[in-house]
Amino acid sequence: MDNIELDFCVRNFKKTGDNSFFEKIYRHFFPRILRFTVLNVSEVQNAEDIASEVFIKAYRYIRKLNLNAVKLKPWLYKVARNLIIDFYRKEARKGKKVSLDQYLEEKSAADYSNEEIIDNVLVFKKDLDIEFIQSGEEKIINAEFLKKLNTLTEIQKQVLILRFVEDLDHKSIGRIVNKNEIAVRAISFRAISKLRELMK
Amino acid sequence: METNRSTNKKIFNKFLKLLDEGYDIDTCIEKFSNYREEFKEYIDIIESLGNFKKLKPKEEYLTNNLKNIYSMARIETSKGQKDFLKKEISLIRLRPAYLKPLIVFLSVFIFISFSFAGTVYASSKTIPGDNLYAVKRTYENIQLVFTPYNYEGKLYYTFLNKRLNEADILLQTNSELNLKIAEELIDDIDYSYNKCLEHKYLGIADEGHIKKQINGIKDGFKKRFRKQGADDTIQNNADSLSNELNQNKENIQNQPNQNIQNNQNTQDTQNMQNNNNSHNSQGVQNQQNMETVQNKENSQNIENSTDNSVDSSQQMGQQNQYSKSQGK
Repeated sequence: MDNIELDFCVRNFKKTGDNSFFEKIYRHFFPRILRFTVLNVSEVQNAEDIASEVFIKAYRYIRKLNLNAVKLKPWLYKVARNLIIDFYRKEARKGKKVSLDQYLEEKSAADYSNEEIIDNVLVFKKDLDIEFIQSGEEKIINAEFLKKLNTLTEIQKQVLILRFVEDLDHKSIGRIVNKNEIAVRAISFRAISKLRELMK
Repeated sequence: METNRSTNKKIFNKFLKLLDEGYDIDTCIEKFSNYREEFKEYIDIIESLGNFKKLKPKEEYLTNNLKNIYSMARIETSKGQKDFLKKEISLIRLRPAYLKPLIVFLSVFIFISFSFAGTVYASSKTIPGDNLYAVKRTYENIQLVFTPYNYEGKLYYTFLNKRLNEADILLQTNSELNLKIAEELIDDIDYSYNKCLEHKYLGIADEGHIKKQINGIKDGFKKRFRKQGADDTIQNNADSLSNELNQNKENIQNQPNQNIQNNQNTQDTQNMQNNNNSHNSQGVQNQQNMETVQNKENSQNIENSTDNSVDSSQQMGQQNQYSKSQGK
């Protein structure tokens, strides 16, 4: 779906409140938002809840806010990021283990083999009911890579995901993570350099 | 090392820009052929990240979740509307920001009103000269302000009765009266009586009875003040006398023959002072005491002083002259 079509949907949903326009927006953005939340939140169920909540908010606020196709995408990611932060805060209050980093760190500390970590990723896939990567090799690469990705700081991880998974430009990412464009560039470069060192 | 890092960063950013513009990865690498190996590592990372793009939910999940979102959104919007309605209906109940100052204001208001009611109740049995009498009068004035004109007559009648009672109580007490307070009270009595007449609230029988009462009270005050006035003047004169006598003490000591007369004079003045004190303390029995004193003492001046304050002062003046001449 291109920007013109998105704009049309947003405008008509604002005017008429017809759910079919919202459905188009939902089908375009929901998988992306879900992917973003899954990569940021340790438990899949929570990631699903957060993604759903983002779209509940979208349903309510698209009609009220002055959003177009260009603004809508970063807005959705920003809402998702804020909800993720809220989720971490609530979990921290409860005293539970919070991030995926910590989860995987604990696993590795307990001397789990690579396969088990892959299993964990697979469990996470099954729960989410996601059509994950097909070939066995790619699975392993992804699991290992995910583990390394989780050693980065939250903001580095988020910037990398937004830049190279969600294909957002630096300016939009800056809006989402409340930083300027140059800072985002620096963060992404630092994160990639760190990952490169880890991959060696 | 540092320069390498910064050049790498610049070149990497340029490389990313090219990617953003829509070039293939191979063409981008060709453009920066000197950095091929370094970029290869970067590109591996980017591709690994890109693999996450394949992470997609199933179609069933999408449709089911959409239904959930609709229902949840409807619940939330209706909840929001209900909250809004509740806020419209009772702003106070739902907004603690309003609640706190309101509670403070109400509690202070209740406290003040209760304390005012308490002081008004306490002041209901006061007489002129008491501390809370002003509160009583203020409360009466407030009553007058809030009473319609037709009912003012009744109110003035009750005020009149109150004033008459106060006057009775004042007259019955033995303590010294303040002239100003009595004058004010009499003025108030006259004012409320006139107001009652103005409103035609008093009947003929009532009018006569109350007029009699008022006159009685006025006479009582007059008598009381006549006594007090006489006593005052006697005391003043006695003081002045004693002062003068003290001044003449030296002369008296030089003339021992006249000491007896002086002593007599001082005795007289002492008696007069004693009489004065008895006047002030006993009130009604003053006259009897004065008569007994008169019988015992031979001074004619004191006898006159009990009848009339003016006469007594004149005679005391004469006595002064007499004592002066004696002193000389």
